[in-house]
Amino acid sequence: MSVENPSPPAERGALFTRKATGLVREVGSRDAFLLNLFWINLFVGILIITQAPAIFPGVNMLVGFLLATALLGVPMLVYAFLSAAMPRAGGDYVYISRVIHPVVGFICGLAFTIMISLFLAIFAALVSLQGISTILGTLGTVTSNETLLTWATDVTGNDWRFAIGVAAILAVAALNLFGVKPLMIMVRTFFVIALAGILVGVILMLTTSQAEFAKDFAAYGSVSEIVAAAKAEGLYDPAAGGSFGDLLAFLALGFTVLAFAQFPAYAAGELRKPRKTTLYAVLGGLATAGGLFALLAALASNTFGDDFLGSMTALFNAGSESYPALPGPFLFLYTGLLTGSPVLAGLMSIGILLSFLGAMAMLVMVASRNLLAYSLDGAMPAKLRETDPRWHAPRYAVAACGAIAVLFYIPYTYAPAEYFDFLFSGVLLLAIVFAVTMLSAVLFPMRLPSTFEGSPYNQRVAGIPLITLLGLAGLVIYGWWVIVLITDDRIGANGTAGLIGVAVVFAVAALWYLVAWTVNRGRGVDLMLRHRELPPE
Amino acid sequence: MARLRKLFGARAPLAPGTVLFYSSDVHGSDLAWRKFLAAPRVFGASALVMGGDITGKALVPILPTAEGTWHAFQHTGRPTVLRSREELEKFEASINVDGFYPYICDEGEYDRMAADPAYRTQVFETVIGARVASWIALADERLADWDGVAWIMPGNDDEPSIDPLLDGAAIGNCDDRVVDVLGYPMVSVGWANPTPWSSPREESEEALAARIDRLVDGVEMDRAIFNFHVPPHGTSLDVGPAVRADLTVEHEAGEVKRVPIGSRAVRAAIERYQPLLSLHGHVHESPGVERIGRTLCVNPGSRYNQGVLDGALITLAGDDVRSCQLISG
Repeated sequence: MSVENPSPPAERGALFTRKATGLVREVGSRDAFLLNLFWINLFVGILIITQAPAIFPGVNMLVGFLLATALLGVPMLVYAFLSAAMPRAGGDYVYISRVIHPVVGFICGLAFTIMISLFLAIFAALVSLQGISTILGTLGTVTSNETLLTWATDVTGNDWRFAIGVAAILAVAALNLFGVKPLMIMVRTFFVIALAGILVGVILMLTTSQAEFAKDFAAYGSVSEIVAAAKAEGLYDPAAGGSFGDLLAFLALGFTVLAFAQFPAYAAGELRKPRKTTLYAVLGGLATAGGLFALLAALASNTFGDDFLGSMTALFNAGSESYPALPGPFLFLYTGLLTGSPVLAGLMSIGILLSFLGAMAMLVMVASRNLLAYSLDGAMPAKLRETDPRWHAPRYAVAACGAIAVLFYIPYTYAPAEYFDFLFSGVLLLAIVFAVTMLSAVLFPMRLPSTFEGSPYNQRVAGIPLITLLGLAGLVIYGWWVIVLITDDRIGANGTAGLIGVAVVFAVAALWYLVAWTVNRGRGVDLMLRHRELPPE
Repeated sequence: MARLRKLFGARAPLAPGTVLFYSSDVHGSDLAWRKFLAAPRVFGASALVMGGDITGKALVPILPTAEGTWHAFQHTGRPTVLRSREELEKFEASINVDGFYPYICDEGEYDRMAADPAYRTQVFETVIGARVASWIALADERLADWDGVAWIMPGNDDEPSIDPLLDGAAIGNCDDRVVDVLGYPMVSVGWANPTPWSSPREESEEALAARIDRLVDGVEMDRAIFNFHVPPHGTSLDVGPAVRADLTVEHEAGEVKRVPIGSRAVRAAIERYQPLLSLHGHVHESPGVERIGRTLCVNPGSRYNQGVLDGALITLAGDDVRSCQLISG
């Protein structure tokens, strides 16, 4: 051993190390927090703020988002604990596989991956329907340009929608072929632009009263007449007070956009366990997202009024002739009307669309990494684990994700379907998977005792592991979320086609595992051994 | 069915072959070592190979206090207070899982270790040696009635002082040698190309290439196994975090920057000699299975400090790798 090796502690009261690979300084909480922030889907959040007043008239969205954020703190803590105990584990798929059973883990993981690919198709539709159409419509409205307004309508037609959507899918898939760095540069850039646009919207809403908005809106219609028309047509009731039950049901929407803050950041360091880093990242990301949407909801209610928001959405969704000559309802359409500047209006709309594309790119990244993991485990073709030697991207897995999304997109574009129903049916599937992960947390200390005891969060309360208690609470919260999605007709997740679709996805995942297991068994490989706990004694 | 098998990278069923269980980078984790020894019983393995980096990285001083408690120092800041012997034993067990070495000493010895590098080195050698010796003894005990073969190799992080301790009745040190694995010649090299940490067994790519060439001379490659601790450069097996000179991890665009850190000499050797199988460790974050020409290259990765033993279960039949499955147990 050389004189410099090993190292003394920097100050008294620490352990001694020797020169060995892998002893790095822990990643900062700030980096981990920023990474978690990029998972927030700004577009879906703003869509919810636009749609919710029509779905749940009278509900206080500010309170709703804050309550959703607070409640989700429990399952997010669970994810942080699991991530700290099993860093680099691979998320829900591995947690469930190791704790409950590999079959259950694979079915949940593959179903999750299939649904992400379906979301890609649905989001591709929204790119033209809500994204490009809104941009063109907003700019056309602000500048009184008929050509732009015509184009805003044209791009919602099936053929244009298909072409734009496929282009979006291929673009985000292609970006994933060049590795993480260009992808993250794009995601961060788009996110910053979107935040700039949101800031503009916030300032506009802060400096505009309802009366001033009504005056700005007068060129397109009367706010009071729109509310009256919606009421007369039985589409929206201004007197609806918004019960506590409605508030709780709104939480199901809030969870939709906030429950994805759990993707853990990489926390390096074998010397110092990633105790606080992941915690700050996950909870910080959740709090920031929840606070942002709560602020936007509060400002939207204050500036435009819930009755206006609800009436506009209700009239448009019903195809009413009372809907004014404007593009489809979207929060940033309204904020665009507050400014006569096409630049600011464009910034808000384009920024949101870009963040949406960024979110789509992240979905491809997650789905392709999942396919790579399944391939490494022998449950998917070996080709899917091949990575590009230069970019280290799983090129065939990425291509598979893109192809699946395009295949989903074809019938989705040309078959008559209420796309919001299918979107929320997909959320139901994800809620089920997340609930199973909560169950994994409950059982974790009993099923993997050595891993639990070695984790930084092995505390007990009255003798019961803290993660078990949190998992139970998380299971109740997510279980409630599942029940609301299944039973509340207003959200639209319980349509027959949607429920059948969820069942089919789980069935496909189960069938795939059966095929993979059979094929591997033929060559003497037992897939069930992949996460078999080895006994130390 | 045949087409499905080909899609999944499978071959038609053959007669049962040699089942080899490979793991690496347990870094002193007592739990990981015990799990490794269970592989013959759980998987029916007839050969065990531990591919290097078997010693721990840190020593955790535990100081008794006048109040009858103990203060254990893990990180800078407040110590962990252990109020009973039961708590002390539980803490030591958890430290063992991490691969660290709990060391009970008084303040005087702590200060001496802090001030005197030579004494610190001596203490490290003592605790490392004691654990290695206990592991070999445990292997002799657990594998006494097993009729397979077991080999262990030090890696770049392991001090030379442990080499004489690695030969037991049931397991042997295969480093820098060609040994037999049930009819398959295995060439083992625990050394690595240079790293930012200047670990004990590092050498230049040229020296590593010369070492490999010397060892493989005369070995029949049809059934040869390369047991090289460091993986081949530029594959899915060697992608690790980029580390600066001050040992902080580089980030770019919000993500950890990942770069190939494997050995070019190892890659060149695999490309040139084309053995049947190539086993690697070293890069914990890069588990994978990849072919370089005819050779199947494997790195099971490592999560030893999470209580997980990552390994690869490989079936060899004739001059073919019949199957390879990554295991996390």
